[in-house]
Amino acid sequence: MVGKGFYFCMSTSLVSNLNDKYQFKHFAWIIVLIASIIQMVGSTIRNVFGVMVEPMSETFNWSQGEIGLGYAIAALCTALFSPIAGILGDIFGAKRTMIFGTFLFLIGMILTANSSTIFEFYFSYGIVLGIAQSIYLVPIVPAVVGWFKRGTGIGTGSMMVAWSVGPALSIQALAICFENFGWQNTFLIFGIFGTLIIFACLLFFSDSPEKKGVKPYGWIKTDLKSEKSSMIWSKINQKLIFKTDSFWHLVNIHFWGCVGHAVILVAVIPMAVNQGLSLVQASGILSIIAVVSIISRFGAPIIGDKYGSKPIIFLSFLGQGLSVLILLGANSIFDFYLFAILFGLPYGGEGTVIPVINKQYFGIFPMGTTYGWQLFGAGIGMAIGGFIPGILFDISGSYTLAIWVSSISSLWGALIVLMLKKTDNEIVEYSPD
Amino acid sequence: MNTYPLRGLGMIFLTILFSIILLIYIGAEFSEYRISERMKNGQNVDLWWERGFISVCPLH
Repeated sequence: MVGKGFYFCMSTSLVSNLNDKYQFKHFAWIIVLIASIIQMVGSTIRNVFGVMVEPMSETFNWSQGEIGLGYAIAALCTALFSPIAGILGDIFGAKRTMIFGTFLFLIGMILTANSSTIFEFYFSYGIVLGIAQSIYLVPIVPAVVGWFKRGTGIGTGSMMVAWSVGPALSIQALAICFENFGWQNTFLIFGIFGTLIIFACLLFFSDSPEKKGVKPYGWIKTDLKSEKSSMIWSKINQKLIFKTDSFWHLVNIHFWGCVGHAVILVAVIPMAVNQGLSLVQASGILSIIAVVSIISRFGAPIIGDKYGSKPIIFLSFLGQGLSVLILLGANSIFDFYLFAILFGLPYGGEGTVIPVINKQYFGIFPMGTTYGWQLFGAGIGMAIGGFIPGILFDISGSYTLAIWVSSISSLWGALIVLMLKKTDNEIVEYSPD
Repeated sequence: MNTYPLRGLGMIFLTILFSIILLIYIGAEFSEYRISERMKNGQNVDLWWERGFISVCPLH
């Protein structure tokens, strides 16, 4: 009895200490939870693809290349629409923009379910759902950052975990649905349920603490009472951000980082199978990367927030660029799994610190447009990195060139990171208008 | 703070330039590979974009 009482007291005081430290009852955590759910549902758009290639190919007799072009169109549309999604988020607010995105998501899912020609599929999946995804990815992240006066790292880190957990859950659910209901009904089910879930989440969502009438997370009494948690977006001030080197460097860095990991994510399974691993063993590489990256997705923004984001981004790029070189000599399951662990850590930390560094550089100014441009760079990088390995394999008969392209891209990105300014102070002096 | 982000835009320009050079080189290499594969099967037709890549690339 004494032991039980002791443990009960210990756990109660632990919960109380944690609550004091992280203010679990603060509304910012509800915003983080909502953002995570929205990102998980939004990620379905991409994750559904791998599962639907085979059934679509069987139903319509389309080649894998023809269906693959749908994915490329969606990726390109997401990239091209990201800056616009960011501007919409800054002008109309994340909530209204996402309501618009949810309508697009529902229309896109219904149209895709009813596609009977390849061009209908390109329009519904490639264009409509591609745009919907950019709306789910871009405005929500700056909105979450705006809810944190301090502790931005732990807020964004918690949300970024959804990028790993979401695909793991949705792929399984999608595979089960495809098997039981067929791909058309699965699209309808996910479209309708996804829309209902997002609308329910958006009912509780608020763009900023000021709109909700509360103080941002981490606000303390010594903060000036007049200090706002966010500014109103203006063209003049956005232009001041465009005039900094760091803004362009961050777009560029995102591009090279995404080329670096897209090559690997696309090529590592065929690479492992070529070296004699079974498909199940090879799939384990991606699973390990997904699991290991959860640690750095969560941890990197916290460390970046506390000690400066520049070193974290640099180490992530360096780690990503060097770890892929293991693949040059990999020929056993141990080699590939070791690679997955060493690659997964920097890969997870590479992009998730960006919202934190944005806040360190650009302060409380709405960063939807800025973040949208950064995701534009990322999207183009993913699209280019995705098609490079296949072509290089066709030409050379091996993945060696693709590995070098990946490594050099990440190391070049690391070099550009060194050109970034220190994150001690904001780098823009905004106009009062 | 700069009045004009020369370094940032310069690096973006380098990225675009490098990507175009890589695209042309890989495109030309891929075109050459496709043409030679078809030649093996006795087909002599090449496509406009294959000819385009090869004529633009100075190394092919």
